[in-house]
Amino acid sequence: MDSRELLINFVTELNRGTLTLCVLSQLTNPQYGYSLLQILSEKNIDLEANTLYPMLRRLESQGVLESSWNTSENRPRKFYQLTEEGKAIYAALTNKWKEQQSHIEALLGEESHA
Amino acid sequence: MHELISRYIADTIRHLKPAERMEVEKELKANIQDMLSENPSEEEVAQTLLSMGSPSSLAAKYRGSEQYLIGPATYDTYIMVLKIVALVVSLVTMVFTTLSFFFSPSGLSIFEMIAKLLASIFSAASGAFLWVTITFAILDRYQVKTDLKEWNLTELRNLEEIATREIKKKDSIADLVGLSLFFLFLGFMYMRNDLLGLNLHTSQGAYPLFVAEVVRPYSWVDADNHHRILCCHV
Repeated sequence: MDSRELLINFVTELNRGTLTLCVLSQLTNPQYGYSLLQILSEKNIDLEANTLYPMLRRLESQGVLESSWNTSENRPRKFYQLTEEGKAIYAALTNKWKEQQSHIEALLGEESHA
Repeated sequence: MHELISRYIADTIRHLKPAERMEVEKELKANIQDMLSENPSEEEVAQTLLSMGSPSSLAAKYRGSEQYLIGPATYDTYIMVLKIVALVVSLVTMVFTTLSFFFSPSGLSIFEMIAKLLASIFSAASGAFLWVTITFAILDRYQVKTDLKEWNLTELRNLEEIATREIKKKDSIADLVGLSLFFLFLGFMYMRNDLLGLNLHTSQGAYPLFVAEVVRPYSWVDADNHHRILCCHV
């Protein structure tokens, strides 16, 4: 495995948890798969469609999201939204993220000044 | 809808549980159509589908877990059992095949005998491999997690125990040898049951201790038949 491949692996691992957090952050209001993909891409979050769609389904089965089909428009769409439990988890996860980020920030800062 | 899309979706949901298929199909259809313009060209459809990756990799993401024949949790035990079974089966086959050469001389040259011996061992070992694998695959598929209780430091073996464990390994080798000798004896008595009998000092002479005819129908080393087949070829 060359070092570029290795780097890609590390980035994938780094993203795995944070992408979930990104998705949860945008689901206070209902969104469907493609709209969510566009919102995230506008905000420079690089998430592939083939990762997002299965992720939404998984989060729903875990009870973090709830979904409903909207058939009033010309094309049926499945809208996802945080459940009450999901909101609590999102809030807790956000706190955890901020805490961890400040710790890691401190570590990395140390390194660059050394 | 574009035919390529239908085929892509069909190929994806094929890998999913039947209960999930309908919903994923409906959702994927909506999502993929959202990604395309109103009247997409062939090229656009192709690009979008390519960006989604292969149907099987997409399905794997929907399943969320990897699929295994024998998963990492069972793998170590599987390999251990496979080694033991392969060793025992090979030894037993070797003993029986060698015995059959002695008790039904077939006019084979020594090289043919060795070739035949290797072939029987290979075929028996392949069978062992097949059945152990099938057994473990089934175990793995329906396994209820066996070690639910939390791991604790007390489970660590002290070093002395590890040493005795090594001796146990030697014991098991001795067991294998003993078992092979037992089968050798059994095979010997099966083919030459006239050699060991019980003399009751009566006029009828000795009673044989082993009656080969009783087990013959169940035996897979039928020396007589074997011999006959070989004779036909000569």
